[in-house]
Amino acid sequence: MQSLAQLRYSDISRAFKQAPWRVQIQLIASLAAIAIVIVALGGLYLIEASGAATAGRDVQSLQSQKAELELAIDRQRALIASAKSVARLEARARELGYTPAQAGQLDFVLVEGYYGPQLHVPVAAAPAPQPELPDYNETLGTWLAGVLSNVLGSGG
Amino acid sequence: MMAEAVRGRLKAMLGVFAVLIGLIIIRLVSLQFGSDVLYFENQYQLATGYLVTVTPPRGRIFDRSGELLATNDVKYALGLSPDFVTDPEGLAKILSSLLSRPYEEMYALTLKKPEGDIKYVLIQRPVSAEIGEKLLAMQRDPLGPDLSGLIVEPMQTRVYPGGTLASHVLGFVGLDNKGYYGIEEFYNDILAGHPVVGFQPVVPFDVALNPTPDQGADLYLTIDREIQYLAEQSLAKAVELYGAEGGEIIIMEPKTGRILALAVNPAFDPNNYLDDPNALKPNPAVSAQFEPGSTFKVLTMAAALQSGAVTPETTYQDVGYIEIGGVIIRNWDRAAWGTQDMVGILQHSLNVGTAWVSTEMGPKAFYDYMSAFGIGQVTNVDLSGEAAGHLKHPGDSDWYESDLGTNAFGQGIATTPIQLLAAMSAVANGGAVMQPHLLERVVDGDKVHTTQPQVLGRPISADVALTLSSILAVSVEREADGALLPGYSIAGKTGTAQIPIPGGYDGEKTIASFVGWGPVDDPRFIVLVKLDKPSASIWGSDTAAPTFGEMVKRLVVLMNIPPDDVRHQMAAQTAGQ
Repeated sequence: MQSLAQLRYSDISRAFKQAPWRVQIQLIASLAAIAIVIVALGGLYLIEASGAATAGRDVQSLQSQKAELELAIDRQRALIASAKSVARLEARARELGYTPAQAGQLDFVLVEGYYGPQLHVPVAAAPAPQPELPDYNETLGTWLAGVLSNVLGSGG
Repeated sequence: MMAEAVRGRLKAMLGVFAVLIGLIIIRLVSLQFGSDVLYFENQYQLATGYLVTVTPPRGRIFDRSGELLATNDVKYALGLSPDFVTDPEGLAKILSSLLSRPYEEMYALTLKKPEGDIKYVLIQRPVSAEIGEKLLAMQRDPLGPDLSGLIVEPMQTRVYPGGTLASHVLGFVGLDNKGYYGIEEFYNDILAGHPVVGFQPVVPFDVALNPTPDQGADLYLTIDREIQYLAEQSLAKAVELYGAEGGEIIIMEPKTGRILALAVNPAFDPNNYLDDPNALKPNPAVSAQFEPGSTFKVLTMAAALQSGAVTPETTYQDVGYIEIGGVIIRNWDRAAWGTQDMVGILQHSLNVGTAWVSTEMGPKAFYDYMSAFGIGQVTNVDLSGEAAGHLKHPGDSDWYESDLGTNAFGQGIATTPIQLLAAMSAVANGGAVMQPHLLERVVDGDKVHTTQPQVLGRPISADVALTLSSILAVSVEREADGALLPGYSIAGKTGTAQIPIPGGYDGEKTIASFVGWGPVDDPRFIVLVKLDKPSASIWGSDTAAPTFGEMVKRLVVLMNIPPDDVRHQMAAQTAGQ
């Protein structure tokens, strides 16, 4: 009989390694580690994806809000402009007892030394222009005669 | 034996599976890289998003002071997807009550089957913002009525806060977002911007911002809305008072060509152009061609003075008629006015004298000058539909020698109101014809483009213009005192033009007009008043001239023009500073 002490270390070690429970534990641990990594990655993906989806929904909502606000601004602008129309302002002024001022109802006061922006100085007449009559009033014959006379003149 | 048979079957199955897997791989590769890629991409896009057309808001239109003349508002388009309507009776009832349309009609619409691939039935477009928003609120309310199948879409619409104010200047915008008539048509490309089409995914991960289109630019016009209102009120009053069929008033700065007001009667409401027959008529201020009549004598006289054919002191013997080219021309009153100088011709508006002046000039000079004034040519004012008028020339098949005499006093030629005003502004403006225009500046984001005044031509000298202005200032005092304004020097000329009809002229109806400007030594405004077929009086001096006089009482206030004496004191003070 071979005593335990006589067994070689390598034999014991092989027996230990090959123990079925040891192999299963290793497999389970590996799978568990992979599963944990996958779950962690999945979790991260879900977090990111839900964040992106929420942001996307927010963008959609903001775009819709922006469009609605732009329409509302247009409406308000149109209402204000309508309320400020000349006809409406004039009617309101008349209700309050005002009437449009006519030329003879104004008093102009000349303030010495004040040259306000409304001052309109008569400008000097524009330089005497030449009437814009057609530039070309000669016939082909007169042009030819002119050219010939020039040529003959310079030649002589 | 048994094991071999099993092994053989397994091999066969493996072979079949391998072939199947191979086919699948080939198909996958062909789907990914083959000719169907585009189809599948489209299918993917249809399933995960939609194409969106982003139309930029149309540019707004302001007057020269920045007051809104045209802006945008929202209205709604109502439509149906009949396949999705679950309560046709209830929906028809609501639509009928809100749109004031018969229940039966609405009910029939809810049951209408769309044709072809189009799954949309239009109910009404446009409907007011109030109705649209009410329907949207009902749709959002979980306890509200069942409006399944109803489509409520906002749509941009054009609004003109002033109603009929400057309607012929502005034109209108159709449901196709395109401008028609006036500024809206002329500057449509600038106002409308450029819509863009983009893909908008519905998958939240892929959501993108809507594409940004090129915005429409804002336009600032030379129109002053208060002066425009004054012109329209004055015109409407005159049309009623003198029983005219309509008319136009144009107010322009002679030194720059800026049009401050362009009023047309009858006007129309561009907010309701579909219901207004006047909306579809061209703007008569730039497109209606008419024989100008005696106002044209100013141009004839200007040409005669410039050409040296006459001087203000030149006299002729008015025997009551003159024969030119076999046609007898008579004065408006058929009277003989004896010895008259050039002042007398304009003061008494003598046809015979004007015709005589034209013969002194001769046809070539006369027509050359009229062309130089721009008669018979478009002014290129920035409004759609401008007509050129008509000026015959010697040598034309329809020109006769007698035309020289009749054309001289504005008969037998055709001008538009804007053309006549532009031509006559040369007399007010030291001889220069300015380009009439309505656009002051374009504001496109942070870019601003300002229109500069442009000289179209200088048919007469400043001396001739000043001389003629002085003559017209005197003659208006005697011929049309209704046009005068105490404290202000005004020059002008009346016109009473016959209306051509087939075979001659209308014996009863006329076109009455007056063109005037002031102050004479520093003209700030030139005004054309034209009344069509006034029944109270046929004469321009009785109708158009008083309309001018009444209007300029307010005009000088709105334009902040002091009386001549104050203005001269101010000028003296400025000169002495």
